[in-house]
Amino acid sequence: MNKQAFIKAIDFYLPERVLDNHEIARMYPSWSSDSILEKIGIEKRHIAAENETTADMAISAVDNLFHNNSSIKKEDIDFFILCTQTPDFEIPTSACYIQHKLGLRKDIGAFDFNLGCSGFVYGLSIAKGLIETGQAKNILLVTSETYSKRIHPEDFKNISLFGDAAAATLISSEISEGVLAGQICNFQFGTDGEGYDKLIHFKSGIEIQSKKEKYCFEYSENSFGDDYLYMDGRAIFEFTLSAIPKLINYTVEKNDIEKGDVNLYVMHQANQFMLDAIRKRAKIPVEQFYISMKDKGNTVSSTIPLALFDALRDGSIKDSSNVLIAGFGVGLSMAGCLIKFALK
Amino acid sequence: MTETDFISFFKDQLTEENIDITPLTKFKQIDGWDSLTAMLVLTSLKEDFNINLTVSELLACETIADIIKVVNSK
Repeated sequence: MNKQAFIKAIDFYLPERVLDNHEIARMYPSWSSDSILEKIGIEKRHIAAENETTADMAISAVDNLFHNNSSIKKEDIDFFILCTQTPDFEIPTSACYIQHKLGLRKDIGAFDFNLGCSGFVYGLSIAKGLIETGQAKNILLVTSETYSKRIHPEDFKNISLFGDAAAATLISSEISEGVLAGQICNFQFGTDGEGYDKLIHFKSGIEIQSKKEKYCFEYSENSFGDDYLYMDGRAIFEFTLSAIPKLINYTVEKNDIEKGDVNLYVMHQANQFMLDAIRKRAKIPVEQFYISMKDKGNTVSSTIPLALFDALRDGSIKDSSNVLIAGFGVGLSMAGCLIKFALK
Repeated sequence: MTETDFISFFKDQLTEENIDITPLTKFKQIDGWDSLTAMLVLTSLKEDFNINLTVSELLACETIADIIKVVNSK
């Protein structure tokens, strides 16, 4: 197989409304939040407006991608993939609606897939598969989430962590002269569905009367109820600390390289405290461990493309950079991949 | 686990460096001690030494020596 898939361009959209730590402290005076807020490394997050949806944000991210990359033509896009857990509709697939609103061609494939923090990496693997088998040449992968709409207004812990955002990534079979593009290399995937209830919105799917009995599901005492997002922070933290250093090692092995050959690690930007703990356990030097979430928070499936965008812009990723990315969280689901950036 | 080993392990879990820790240190009074640090201590104990300490067992302790005692009873 001689076809190769490259990340050619990334852009994004952040909602206008910004929620900063001062406002959170004012909203929840009973929460002694100072040290926690400092440790999670997030100063502000963007929150989608009341009438602003995942599809609106996805469309804005793609518009920004086209606007800022004049060589990319709408009519060249031959596949559209949307990763979201907050779709405008469950039926129909939001990607179909967005294809129409964006004015993309009608002879292309379009679908949604449901993954959270691991979603971007899975999306890259789907795109790579479509390109390497000759099914598509220019794929738009959009990650877009409005988790804020699933969080209870009093759930200050989740409000502090999550931000809304959308990112648009163009994956192509060919790269143009003078463009710094990232070749998508090999993947390592992981799934531990035993932890399905550690980050869950219980009423987000089909309702049946015996659902709670069927799933033996019980919230902890901190629950805000079935209508809202629930996270067992400690369980997620344990899973991450145990699984992700191994995922990093397996991804390195899958690519037949040594850990020392990786120039930059770009993990899912969950929160600073968790990333520091992963970095220490995986024994990665601080200067090779990219962190960029201070002004946007944990934007679920968009954290990796947003961080890649920042790293490309500030020169942390340059010609000949080997970048290891890894996404992990809700599912529990994880995936790692190596991206080799080169200037053609 | 010896006192020295546990203190070295414990220091690795703290965000602040160069904090003096002795068996008599009242760990809940350490600068920056909070629920996140407690979670990291418990998770790292499990990952590094396969020792399962509960939150209430940890919070029932007052000094580092108290934690060492519980850890060694596991």
